[in-house]
Amino acid sequence: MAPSDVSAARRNFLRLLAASPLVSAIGLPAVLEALQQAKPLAKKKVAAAPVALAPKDTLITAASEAVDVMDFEAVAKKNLLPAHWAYMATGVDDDATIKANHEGFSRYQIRMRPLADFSKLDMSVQLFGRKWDTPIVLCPVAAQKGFHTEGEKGTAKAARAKGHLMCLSNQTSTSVEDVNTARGEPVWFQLYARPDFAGTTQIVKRAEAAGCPVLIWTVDLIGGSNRETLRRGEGPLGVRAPFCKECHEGRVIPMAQGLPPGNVERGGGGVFTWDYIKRLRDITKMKLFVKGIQTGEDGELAVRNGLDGVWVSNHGGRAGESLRPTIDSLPEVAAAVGGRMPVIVDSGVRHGTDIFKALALGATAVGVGRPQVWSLAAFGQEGVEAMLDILRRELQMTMRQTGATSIDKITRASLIDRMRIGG
Amino acid sequence: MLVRRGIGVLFVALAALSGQAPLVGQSTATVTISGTSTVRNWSCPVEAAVKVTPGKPGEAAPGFPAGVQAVAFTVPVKAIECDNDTMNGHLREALKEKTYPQIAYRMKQYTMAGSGAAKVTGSLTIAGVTRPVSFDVKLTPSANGVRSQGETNIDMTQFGVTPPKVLLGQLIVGKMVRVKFDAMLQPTP
Repeated sequence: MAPSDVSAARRNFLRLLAASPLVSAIGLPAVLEALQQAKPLAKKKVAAAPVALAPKDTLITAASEAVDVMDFEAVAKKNLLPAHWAYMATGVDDDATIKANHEGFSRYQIRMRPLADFSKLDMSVQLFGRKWDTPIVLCPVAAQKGFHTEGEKGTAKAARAKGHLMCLSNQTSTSVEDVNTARGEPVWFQLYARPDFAGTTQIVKRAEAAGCPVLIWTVDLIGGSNRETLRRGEGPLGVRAPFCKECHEGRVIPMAQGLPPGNVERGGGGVFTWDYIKRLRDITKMKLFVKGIQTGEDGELAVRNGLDGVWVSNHGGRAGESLRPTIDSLPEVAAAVGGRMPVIVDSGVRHGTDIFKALALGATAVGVGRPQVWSLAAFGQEGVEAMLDILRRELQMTMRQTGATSIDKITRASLIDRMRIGG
Repeated sequence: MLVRRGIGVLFVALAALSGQAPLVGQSTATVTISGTSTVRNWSCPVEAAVKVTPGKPGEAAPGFPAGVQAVAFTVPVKAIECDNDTMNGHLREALKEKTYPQIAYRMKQYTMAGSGAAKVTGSLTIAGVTRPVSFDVKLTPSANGVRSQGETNIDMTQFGVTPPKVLLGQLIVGKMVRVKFDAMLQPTP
């Protein structure tokens, strides 16, 4: 739109407002009339873009060139088979919850307080007695060999190199034993409960035998998920298409070896209630999280049912089209939990400021999903390392800008809620 | 991804009887070959044997005050491990492993380009075809030796290698590959 068009549109809008009974009632017509008479804004001088800077749509060619984690996304899309891309990119219905997750962070403003002694800035957090250098966690992400041949081993080596907690998906394309070896210590294991409890038991026991200290039971897909973008991306035959079935047909993922097939992500049609926590407790000594908690009521039930932790997640917008970002769910869950157990949150995290906001709203640690896959698909282990470096650097900078010398100094007072009068 | 570790450094003195021949440093380098395909990107690491002969006519380099006379990398094709038996098979076939079991690089000369950086030229032999290849090397002295890192892009078709095309011809491997190496070289005593 040309500047003159903008001015005309603005004047028309103001005339409309001035004619509104609501505006008359609150006594603003005089102000609006004055605004209408105002001269059009002078054309803003726009400085020429520095020629040395690559335009945003130029693909990076090395992990070290990434300016933010979104720089990996376009490279990943270029590198991947469209169906593989669609599997990762998909949300549900119109993919609107993916967008809501990301945009939800803009609801909160950050209160900058730059004067503090940062000579000993401490980003570490404690989870079950284990100290982690940062609160940035690698979310469980399925089938990583579909994105790069290094797969989960590449991610694990990056987590090891950079000292991050890694959570391994039930749908991993690499065995938990091999991932633990690559990570150098046992990862946390994410579970999709099966309709056959014997099958669930086998998977849980295997993860426990591999040394995994924490079991994360994901519940947000039990009701199903309408992944339209995936279905359009893979075509009507899905993995049964001639080309796809060359790899997918007869393939059994490592954790399901010896188990009957079925859509375990959705619980295979099984019935699951809060009573299932006790069943899991009876078969494992691992600490137990439930992932996919989005309300205060379920936060209270998590406490009442003796969980060790809750994971606030809408599965990166690929479970239900709630349109509710997890950053909006987090405060009510954190309030319900009341500090009695760790709270991890994910979905839509793209910047260090997002991590900062989540910590301020009650998260103990913050998970990263799609950026992990983008960076892996783009550059393998090196990409994941670079992605983690970017987020850590951004969080560190935000802490410096806000006077937070340690994670516990990041509090609700660090933010202003734009939706709430008085912040 | 480049695996940043130097492995097993061993020094062997050759022709000790004469006292004239240069010492040859032998070590291993982690070489990572990576590339693209129409499905996903891939990478396959392998350990290469490295021989470094210090001495003239090379100019002084970090860790090698008397210069470097010769450098030779040898990669056994059979040892390239893609963590996938099918991929391993296709790669070995494309590289004609049965006829040419080794990939070799011989340095011809180098010039120092600032602190710790060198421009190396030499010849690379893949599948029996030898072509000149140049790349930049970063040399970083440490307590364990001199870490040597570099990378270059190679068009496999220039070596007569046809990139694999499999799965009904729809999985096509890109002709360009990126080769990275990371070695810990032991300076001469």
